[in-house]
Amino acid sequence: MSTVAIQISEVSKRFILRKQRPFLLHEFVRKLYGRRNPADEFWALKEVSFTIQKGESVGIIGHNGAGKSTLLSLIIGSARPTHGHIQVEGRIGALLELGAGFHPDLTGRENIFLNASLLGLSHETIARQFQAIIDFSELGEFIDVPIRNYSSGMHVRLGFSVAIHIDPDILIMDEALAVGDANFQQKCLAKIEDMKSRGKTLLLVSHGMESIQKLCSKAVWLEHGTKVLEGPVGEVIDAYHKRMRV
Amino acid sequence: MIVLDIYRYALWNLILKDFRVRYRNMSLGVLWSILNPLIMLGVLVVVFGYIYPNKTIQYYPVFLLLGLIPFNFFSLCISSSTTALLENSSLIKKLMFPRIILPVSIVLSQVIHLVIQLGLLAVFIVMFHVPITAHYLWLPLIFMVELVFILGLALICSSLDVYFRDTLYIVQSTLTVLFWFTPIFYPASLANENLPRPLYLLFMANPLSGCIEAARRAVLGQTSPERDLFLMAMVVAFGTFLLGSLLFRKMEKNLADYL
Repeated sequence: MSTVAIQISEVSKRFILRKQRPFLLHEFVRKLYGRRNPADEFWALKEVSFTIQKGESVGIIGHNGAGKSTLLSLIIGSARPTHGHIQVEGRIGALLELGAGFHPDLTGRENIFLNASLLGLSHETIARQFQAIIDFSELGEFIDVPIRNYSSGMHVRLGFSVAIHIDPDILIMDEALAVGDANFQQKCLAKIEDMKSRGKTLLLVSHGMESIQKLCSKAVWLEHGTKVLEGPVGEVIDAYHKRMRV
Repeated sequence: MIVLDIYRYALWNLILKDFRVRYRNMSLGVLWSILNPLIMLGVLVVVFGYIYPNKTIQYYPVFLLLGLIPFNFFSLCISSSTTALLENSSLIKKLMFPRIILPVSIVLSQVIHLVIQLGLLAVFIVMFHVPITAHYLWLPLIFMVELVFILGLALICSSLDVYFRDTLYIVQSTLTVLFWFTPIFYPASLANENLPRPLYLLFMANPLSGCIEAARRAVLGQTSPERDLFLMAMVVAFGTFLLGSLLFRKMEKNLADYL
């Protein structure tokens, strides 16, 4: 058994920026001839490498546009790196910014089954956890209302609740805790602490330093798609603040 | 195929989702599946039974249904699966799962409509005293061929639609054109008589025409499908499926970046 939970090796991610439409015919023709305007390219991540051991809790910090969310989408596998590769061991429970992969026209109840089954869980497993998911989310009767009518707080509560109840080995959170109210935040923090103590791996993204300082032992600082610093959480955050003041 | 086994439960949930989303806000719900072909059938029977009568075709309403039902199934599947990836972008961006189950689930969720409409066909067969023979056993194979063709096209259209948003409009226009170039309210034999041979072969290369023609021979002609034509339909259908799978595999890699 390897002790590595997530290994990120020389990962780069390129986006092709298009001003209006996703893919225009003349661009397609140009691509056929192998030419692409370099100004249309945007490297969201440039040769980023680091390793997260099993049981570690790691925070990723950096400004807007530093590549934090892009990195998470590569780790959960919904997007693929342009270069380099990522190895993940274990099941991921993830709550990315703005939702956890729900369909707006389905109710909370239906979304729980859809979301968890797309993560590869069987009906029996989901059914066993179902009541716990609803209870933790505190959605009450809203569980039978289509998700499109949820407030952002309700959305996050359900997403968080699903993410922690699918028995993940790795918990990934992107700015999620910023949305819920104070009560629910406390409950989430307690739950995260509980999972940490059971040896689960935690990966947290935020530009608020507080939760990272509280929950993580290690931090990675990203800036303009490159890794600036990696190390114990105190050191990285100090260096980050020092840079801010200059 | 292994993928489909692991994600069978996910596929089932997606089929349910498609159903719920489609019918949640309709008072007639799945009844539309019967009403739609009935309305079309009524219009065509009035036009070609009374206004511009075609007296050479026996059991004309059954003949019509045998064209309308496969075409409706085809048309519904293709137009709804074209947007399968775009409409589920909220799932694709946040979750890692084999994307192929999205268009496949939409096609499979339409099978229930096909079954309901086939029930309608059965009623008409009994009502019009069409003889029931062993050749009906060709029908499952015929619809399987159509399904394979549809799955292939669904994979092609859904992945293209992410990169070229014009795809949906091209698909819709093509479906309108196909309605006239598929033997729905006229027999394929008319095309055979009046079109030059190469054009007729092109006409029949569309597996939809091949399937409709074969179904009519099985039910109304009490014979097996014309061997060469049906083989051609099968080759085109499986070729489309193969092409669709390859294209989808290539396109799905960077899907999340384009949504």
